[in-house]
Amino acid sequence: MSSTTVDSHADEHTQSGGVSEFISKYVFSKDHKIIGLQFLFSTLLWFLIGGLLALGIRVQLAWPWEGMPVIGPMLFSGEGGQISPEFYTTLFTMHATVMIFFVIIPILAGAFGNYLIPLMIGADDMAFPTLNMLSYWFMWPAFGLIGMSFFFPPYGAGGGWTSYPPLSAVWEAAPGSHWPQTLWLLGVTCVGISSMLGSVNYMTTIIQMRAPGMTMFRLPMTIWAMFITAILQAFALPVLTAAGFMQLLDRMIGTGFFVPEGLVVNNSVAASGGGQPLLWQHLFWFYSHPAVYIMILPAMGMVSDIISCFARKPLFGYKPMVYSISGIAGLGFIVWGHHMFVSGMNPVLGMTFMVATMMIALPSAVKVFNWLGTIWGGRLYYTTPMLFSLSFVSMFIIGGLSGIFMAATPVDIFIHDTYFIVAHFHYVLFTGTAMAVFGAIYFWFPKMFGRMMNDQLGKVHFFLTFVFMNGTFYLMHILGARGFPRRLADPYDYETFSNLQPMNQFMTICAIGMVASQVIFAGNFIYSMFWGPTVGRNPWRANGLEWTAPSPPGHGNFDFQPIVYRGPYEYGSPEVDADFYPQTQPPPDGVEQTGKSDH
Amino acid sequence: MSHDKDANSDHDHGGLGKYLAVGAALAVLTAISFAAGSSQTIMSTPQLGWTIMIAVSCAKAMLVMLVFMHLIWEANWKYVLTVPASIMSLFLMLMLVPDIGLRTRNYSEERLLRAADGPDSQSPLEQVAVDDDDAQVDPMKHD
Amino acid sequence: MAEHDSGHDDHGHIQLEYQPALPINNGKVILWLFLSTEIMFFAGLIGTYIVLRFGAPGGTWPGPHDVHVVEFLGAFNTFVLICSSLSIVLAMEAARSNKPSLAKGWFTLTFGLACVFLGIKAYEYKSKFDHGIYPQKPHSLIYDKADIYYVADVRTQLNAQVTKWQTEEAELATAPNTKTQLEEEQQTANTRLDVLKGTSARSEEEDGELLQLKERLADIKVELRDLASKTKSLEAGSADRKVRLPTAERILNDFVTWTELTAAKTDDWPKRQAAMEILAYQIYPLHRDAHAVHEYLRWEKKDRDAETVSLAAERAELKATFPSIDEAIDAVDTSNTSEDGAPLPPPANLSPDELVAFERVLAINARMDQITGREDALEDFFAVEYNDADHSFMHTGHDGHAGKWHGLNDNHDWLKLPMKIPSGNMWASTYFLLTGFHALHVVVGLIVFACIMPLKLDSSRANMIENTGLYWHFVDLVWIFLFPLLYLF
Repeated sequence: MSSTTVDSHADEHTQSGGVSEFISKYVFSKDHKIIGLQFLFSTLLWFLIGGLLALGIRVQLAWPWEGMPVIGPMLFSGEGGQISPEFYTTLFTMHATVMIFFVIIPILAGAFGNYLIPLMIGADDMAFPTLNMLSYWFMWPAFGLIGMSFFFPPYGAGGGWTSYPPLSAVWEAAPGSHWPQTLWLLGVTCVGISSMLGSVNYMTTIIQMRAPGMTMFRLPMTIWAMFITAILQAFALPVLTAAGFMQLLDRMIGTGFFVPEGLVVNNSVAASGGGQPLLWQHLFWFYSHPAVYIMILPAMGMVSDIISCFARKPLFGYKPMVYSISGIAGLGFIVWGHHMFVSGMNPVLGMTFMVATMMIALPSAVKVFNWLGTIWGGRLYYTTPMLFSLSFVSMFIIGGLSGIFMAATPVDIFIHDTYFIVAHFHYVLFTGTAMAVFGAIYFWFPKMFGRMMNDQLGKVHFFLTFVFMNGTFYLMHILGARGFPRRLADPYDYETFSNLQPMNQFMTICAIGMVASQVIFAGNFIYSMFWGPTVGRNPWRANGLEWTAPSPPGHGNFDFQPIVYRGPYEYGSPEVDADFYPQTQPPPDGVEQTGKSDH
Repeated sequence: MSHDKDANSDHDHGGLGKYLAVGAALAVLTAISFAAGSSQTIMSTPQLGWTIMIAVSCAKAMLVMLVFMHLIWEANWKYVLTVPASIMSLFLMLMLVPDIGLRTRNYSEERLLRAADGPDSQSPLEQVAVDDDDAQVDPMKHD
Repeated sequence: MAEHDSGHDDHGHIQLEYQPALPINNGKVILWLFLSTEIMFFAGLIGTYIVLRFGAPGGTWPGPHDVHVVEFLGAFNTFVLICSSLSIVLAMEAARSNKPSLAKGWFTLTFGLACVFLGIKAYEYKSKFDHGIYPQKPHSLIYDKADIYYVADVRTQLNAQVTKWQTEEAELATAPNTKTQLEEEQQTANTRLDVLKGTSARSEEEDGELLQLKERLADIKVELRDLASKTKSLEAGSADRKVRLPTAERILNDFVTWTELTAAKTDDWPKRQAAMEILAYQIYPLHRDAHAVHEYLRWEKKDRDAETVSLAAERAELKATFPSIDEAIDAVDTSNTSEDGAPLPPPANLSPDELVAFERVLAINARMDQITGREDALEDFFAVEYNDADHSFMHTGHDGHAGKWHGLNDNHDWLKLPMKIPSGNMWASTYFLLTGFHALHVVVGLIVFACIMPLKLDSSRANMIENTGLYWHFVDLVWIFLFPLLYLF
């Protein structure tokens, strides 16, 4: 591999001469930074697609059967642009699939995990760069397979992102069965392989490749979160892969794992059966509940770093933070049943899962209070990343509290499968994770590209997004409390919901505004990538190891051997004059050197 | 700087004799579970046979892990990497029992009609035996 | 810290130092982590098997012999894998003490043993496939219970087979005719062609005809060739069909139709169920059903005998009351109704009462034939003999083993009739799932072995062999649990 220092991604773009050089450097690159950026660009692109799919859902809910703009005339010209109920099913299935499997999970673990882990622990690359490259390139079969599902009748998988049998396990079941559902399963399996390759690599890197002095309890919260996330993925994901294979076999060769006896769907021949649809739900949620934490823990870690940096204060309660992340992860494995309270599950199990779920509120509250404690009395800099992080904390409280409602079985039985749950997970995943991701992009953008993003535009982006997203998602709580069902193309069929249509129209307008505000972000991102003001190594005056490397870091990351003397949150330390105290800065004479640990 | 990732540090052990002994033990244990599985006496109480076979399998697994996979000579990290996975896998299986392992308890009449017939389900034979006494009734009555 | 743009610092790629937490190489760390994920993967699969197997309704899970599982082969395969585990450990030790050729020897042995394992596995799979025990869409040949859907499927499959053979026989029978026709057409065409060719000045129409004739002749040539090859293949199968068709038809009449009639004739659930159980047992006998089915047969025999007696009495009475119908009945008996398929018109000289009696006697005769056919079939197919003394059946069996009851599927390997194996489909699903994914891991191991084998296995490769070995031991570990779970439980 060439030892040339990789300059700015953008500059290299114009400088690189040969196509083959370009391919080896930017396409099949083994450099964790390039792979991270590849993940970032791919996932941002899918973020756009997923957002547009969501708009399709919103338009249908606001003005049912009135003809979908743009895609309506293209796909349903015969019906005056009016979409079919089956297509609505496809819309919400693909929206969730794209957002979960192609955006949130890969942008957190794939993009930020890849980019930040070696930089923040002082390594030159991942432990296994080729494996790392493979983990990115396994995403492409998934992109392809799930994208292809739109082109096979009945055009797009429609089993919901949970793919519940028996309908999803039977080939003949409409809507959205036949090839699309099969391709969907294969695609999700590829995402699984990618995540598995990534997670074992991250764990090995964090365990074995920390810089001298970087003990486990000097790791930034981002790395702790990535580490715990990798553990979650490594332990939970294989079960989904196994279940996915079983469902594929049910669909393709007629095994009966999830198919009950004598099942007749769509006038098919009665299936051989003998299996249990509930088995899928158990295996699926055994992965997908920990996956919920895979989708939020890294965001929590990154927000901790950003808040501490812009409050110019040490992170309040570092070790409790670490323990609560581990606690959330540990509990996350034993609460999956709370997704199944109305499935006919054994009530004793339901009780167990309810209690375990309630317990997750404790470590989550610890984290929230620690963030508040960090902000308390800090000298706050309201930069764009800080605004996004503060928004994350406040929105996570709303999302977390609505989660406790649903943890209680009796309440859940009432609001199950209504818009209340939709409100809950959008508060956690969009106003939570996605906002943290925006913050992280603004925060680490200077490191990635050596240029700053425009702070003014960033703030406009933030305020518009913040207002519109609350306008969109907050009202879903009210809809849910009224019993408005999710996954129904036309809930106004029921008289009792017809008066909710104006509210839905308001939400849809907000949603359109929210998607439109992202244009500002995209413009800011692309403009700053090429023409933003260049920055030095440490524009935010932060402590982490990544800020001691060049911006953007060259091949091998560090131009010196980093040696770590302290944790990453020594802001406003009395030992030095500056209000920050980088991890690699040797302590002044006379101060006891804590040095490397005997880890 | 701790730099002792010497790959060979943990390998002044093992030896041909030890490996062969373990291999022989594994073969013998396989024979034991085969014998238990084929024995009519033991399998007449299947729970006994199953317990024996699973115990033998666990013993074999421990032998393979400890000696062939060198865990007996490794440092304490072996517990970190193997124990959580084992607990998680047992936990997963355990949590499947109430809903799927005991599934027929909640089957509806309709579903049981479609479910597999077994020795425990009602056999026509019992009714036949009852009918046997009046089997002399005119067989043409159904004509 | 100097805040400068790092653009072109010419530091290259410096070698960084780390403080690893574990005293082992990174390859071993990631491999153990990977094995942890593999533990969870197989936990999902094996857990599924365990809950489905022990949750199967009322102890229905098929025993090894119900589904052609040979315990010995499983035990032997376990032994093969144990030996391969041992040999790869020895390969690692040899490499570590820098004996490349010895290491290669052990390594090659491991590769060979893995191949043996897969070979035995393939043989076992084949025995399942030969018996039709595998999942299938939309419905496998395996039924959970002998119900009307089962009987209906047996009839459908058998009918399809019989119809196919009959069509083939009919085609074979008409083939010479078709051939003659084609040859005649060829001859006429040739004659006409010669005439046309002989004409020196041909009109436009004649030119067209000439062209058409040539085309037609070419077509006929192709058709004749096709016919010849088809006839050849039909003839090749003809001998088999000649044997199989009557057998299949007999099964259709004396087993399937008999069962359907018996089941349809009664409102009595146990009797109906018994009839269907007998059919299922005749097709694919399960040891656990043997006792019950013997009782059913004994009971069927009783019914049959009683029916014969009563039918004979009724017939005798009818004949005594209406002596004049004897002649007509003899006429029916001697003339073969099946010659043109249509039933003979009833004799014109009978009075309405006599006509009723005549038709009743015919029905009785037909029914008696059916009963005789059933009895003959039981004896012919299963060598069942009724012992009047203790009212029991003796199965002498074709191989002389008393009590050994061969199923129709076993006796006729060309028959692939649906089988009743309670929970059999679930069994097949889990068996192929578990062994399939295990075999897949063996194949991956083989690929890794194949990549390593050409290398020089000295001490520098010891870690590589050790890590490969860790994976291979894991594959062995999984099998250690699969063997009792799948073969012995």
